Amino acid sequence: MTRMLARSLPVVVAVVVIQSTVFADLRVAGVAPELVAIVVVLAGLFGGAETGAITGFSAGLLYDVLLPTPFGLAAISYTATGYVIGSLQSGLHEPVWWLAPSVAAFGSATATAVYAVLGELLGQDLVNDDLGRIIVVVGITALPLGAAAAPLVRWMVDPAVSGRPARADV
Amino acid sequence: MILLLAGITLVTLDFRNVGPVDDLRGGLRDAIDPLRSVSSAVFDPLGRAWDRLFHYGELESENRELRQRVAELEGEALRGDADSRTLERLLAEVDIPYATDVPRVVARVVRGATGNFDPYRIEIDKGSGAGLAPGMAVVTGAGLIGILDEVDRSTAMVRLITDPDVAIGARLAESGEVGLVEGTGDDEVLDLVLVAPDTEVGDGEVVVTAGEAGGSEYPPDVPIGRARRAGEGEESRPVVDLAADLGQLDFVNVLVYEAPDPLEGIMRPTPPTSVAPVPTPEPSTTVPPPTVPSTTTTSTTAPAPVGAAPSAGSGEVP
Repeated sequence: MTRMLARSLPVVVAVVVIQSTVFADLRVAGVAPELVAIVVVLAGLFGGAETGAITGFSAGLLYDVLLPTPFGLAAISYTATGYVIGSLQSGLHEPVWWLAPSVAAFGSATATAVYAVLGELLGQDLVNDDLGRIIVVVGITALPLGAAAAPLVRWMVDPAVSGRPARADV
Repeated sequence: MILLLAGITLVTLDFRNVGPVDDLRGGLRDAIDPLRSVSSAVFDPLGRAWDRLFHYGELESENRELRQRVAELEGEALRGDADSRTLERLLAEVDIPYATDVPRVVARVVRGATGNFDPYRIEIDKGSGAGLAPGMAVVTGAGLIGILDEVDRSTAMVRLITDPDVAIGARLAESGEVGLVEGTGDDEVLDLVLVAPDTEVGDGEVVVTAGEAGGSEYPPDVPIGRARRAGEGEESRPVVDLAADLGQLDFVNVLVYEAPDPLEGIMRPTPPTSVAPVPTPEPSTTVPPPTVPSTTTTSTTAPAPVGAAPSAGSGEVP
């Protein structure tokens, strides 16, 4: 777990930085891909519920620093989504090639919806006419991004899964 | 469960404007800002290539419009000068100084909004290190575009005037009537809410910031746009066509202005000199817990003084 956390930190920071710089301007139909949510979802998929929750909390909290919404809103949303996705993967033994992108698409769209609904409950005007378009575009853009991010997240969660032998903890 | 509770705790603390939470947020932004600058520098060509690839048609169309506009302007140069002199005369007739002496800080717009739920913010490359503070007005050569929202050491977020949650004290330059301009979410049109709703609004009448005389904390006479009536008959309402083009923001000016304290010069009443003075209790330093905003109300409907700006870090500002 300690080694996983050590691998996760630079990945989470890099993802949040890229999300707030590259994807601030790289938009599809006015909607930015949610790279942070994709990484959280994939962490849950490859590492289980606990890994998904921890990654969701840390990435969401760092993302909250840059968002105008209440501090902790993204952390709560991504923690819950990462945990749920991680819980659903427990019966998976032989992942197929389309699993990561499809779960990334579904999970990131779900995380976006959860974020909007929780934000609305906290008085933010997030559930509006644009929400449907945002969720759809986030889901669609997560397909290629999920496929691209899967090897990195797989390594982040467990290098042994990526084909390299895991080093014993000191 | 622990993580969820931690997140809920943070949200609660943020709503109560607990100082360390804001400090933590600002400190983390300052910490990762160098990484974001490097990332922007590295990936900026990618963003430009993306724009060229997916917005080429728009660029072509804009180029044609600009060429046409240049041709028109070359023929209208004299008339443009006359319009400026007319405006100056107009403002002089109502005793308004055209040029303000407010110090300005020039800043570059570095990126747009982060995330998908707040398209009304942009980021500039100046912060508290340059003397900026939340609530300061941000302008271009054409007029007001927004107000500073969050200010870190080297960067700041600007909340655009088109945000539906922004309301700024304004004044009709000709009639002098005061009111509020409110964002509508539209990049080009603002709502104009006048104190006297029956005021006759001249088509094209210049709208400027009201200044402290109108209850606003922004410098007076900063152009906002031109007023007109939208709609027909009883459903018509006054609106303001924004003077600045929010789609072409590269450099902006931040007006380093502090509104004068309205209580300055007012003496506090002296306590009565009775034989047995009653010890006065210490003023309470605790902030009454704010109520979580109801989803059925918005900050634009809450009663607020004219020209009130949303305070930075407030839980009510999205």
